[in-house]
Amino acid sequence: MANLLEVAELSWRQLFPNPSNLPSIKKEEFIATARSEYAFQSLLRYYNEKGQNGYSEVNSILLDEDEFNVVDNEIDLSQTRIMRGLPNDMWLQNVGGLVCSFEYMKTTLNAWQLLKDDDCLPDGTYPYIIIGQSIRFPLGTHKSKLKIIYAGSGKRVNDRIEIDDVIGGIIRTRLVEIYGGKVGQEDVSNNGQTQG
Amino acid sequence: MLSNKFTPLSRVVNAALTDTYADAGVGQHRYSHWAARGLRKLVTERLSLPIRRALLPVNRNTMTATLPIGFENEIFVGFIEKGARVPLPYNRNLINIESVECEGSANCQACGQEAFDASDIEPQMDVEIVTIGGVDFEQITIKTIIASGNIVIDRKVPFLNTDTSQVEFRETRDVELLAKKSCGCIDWDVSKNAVRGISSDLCDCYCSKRTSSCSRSRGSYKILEDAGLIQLDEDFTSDRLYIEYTSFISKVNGEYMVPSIAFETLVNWSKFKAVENNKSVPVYERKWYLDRYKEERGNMNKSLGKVKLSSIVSIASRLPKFDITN
Repeated sequence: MANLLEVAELSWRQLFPNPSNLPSIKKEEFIATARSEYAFQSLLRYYNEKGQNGYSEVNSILLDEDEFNVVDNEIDLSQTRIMRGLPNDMWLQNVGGLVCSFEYMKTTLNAWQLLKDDDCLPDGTYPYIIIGQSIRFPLGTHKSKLKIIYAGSGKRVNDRIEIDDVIGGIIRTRLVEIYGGKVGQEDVSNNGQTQG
Repeated sequence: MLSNKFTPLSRVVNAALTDTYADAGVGQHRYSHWAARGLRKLVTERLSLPIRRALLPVNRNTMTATLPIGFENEIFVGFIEKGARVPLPYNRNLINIESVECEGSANCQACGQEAFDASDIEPQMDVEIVTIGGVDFEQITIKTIIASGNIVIDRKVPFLNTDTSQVEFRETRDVELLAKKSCGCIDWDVSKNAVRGISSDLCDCYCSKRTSSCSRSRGSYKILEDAGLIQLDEDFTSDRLYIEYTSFISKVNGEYMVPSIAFETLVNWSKFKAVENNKSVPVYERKWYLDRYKEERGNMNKSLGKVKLSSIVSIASRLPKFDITN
């Protein structure tokens, strides 16, 4: 089983076999593409599993935990890279952390407007709603800083994380598809001819 | 028989979400709503309503007490005296005068007394027969309450004129002042004797209603659900009203509690409600969920109807005509 960095390296050498050549893209960009592709393939796997089993969970490797400030009962996530592609805002998995003694409940704007006067929830439950790039707490929060567990867009994926061979193969193929034949070598000569 | 064990409603919700592999972030709020509705349905249709007790402060000005939150039906209304509860009878004739719209006259801003309208009062005429020289004559007295609140007494009194030896009539007018409050309003409590002589109806409207007879009534009550009040009559003297009532399911420690015997029924109810109106779910599948709910509810009803054999034996052994031998 290879890690993500090794898979990216393999693709890089496949595309640019001559080490002395200088490709016009940077290796860091190439690895960043590998990370994003890994997150995307994980998303596709989620849909496949749901289609076959009827349900699926967010891949735990995608989950990040950070602490955010609460200002005016609102958390701003505009500076956070989030995997928004997951359906039903599944990217937001938890607010408050795993050991928070207060109950935070995710709801939708539609459900909140319909049920805000309903007393079905336990007293002291803090609902939260995702609106745009922020999380809002219509009934407030109990702290000024809250931990949030969410699915990141691959920013935190450790380049040396082990990935299974199937995902690795798909990522390698995709990188070759993306960059193969489209990115030439940088012209370092002064004769005007493109180097192969 | 109802189990004494209770489970938080949130566990019902979590169980339904687990069974359906639903995402808590999407379904928790809706499932909570459905579970709460299912609990209310079960409590209303099958489970017994909890009985609660409360001591309510009485507003002595309006003779009312506020109904407690969640009030459904009263079982007992009264007060506590020497450690024992004393019941109050129900009086359907009580009304909450504060809720009745006042038409017409405005009240005095100082004492709150209703403005007096003299035009409503008809003058009272008394005729007395006076015999002068063997001949009967009428002595007429007319009492009129005027707007200022005074009583004008006009008299037509027959007398024998010794000069002319004829019976003539003397007309007199006297004014009797009614007692007034500092704000200028008539003090009806003080003036009731003077007023009663003119119009007993007027006195009934404005004077104190207390009589000298001994009253043994401890008071009576009426529930005014629309206003959320219990109306009491003036004979109720205690400052606190004791009430036992059935309450629509109440929260314990801030959360609805579900009798354990109804747990599975509610879980299946929630799962059914999640698909009942979901157009993407086939009708046969919705029916399947409904059948599961009905099955669990039937199991719950059977458990509720069960009586322990030991209870039957115990009851039968207490009856003298039954001879139970072990």
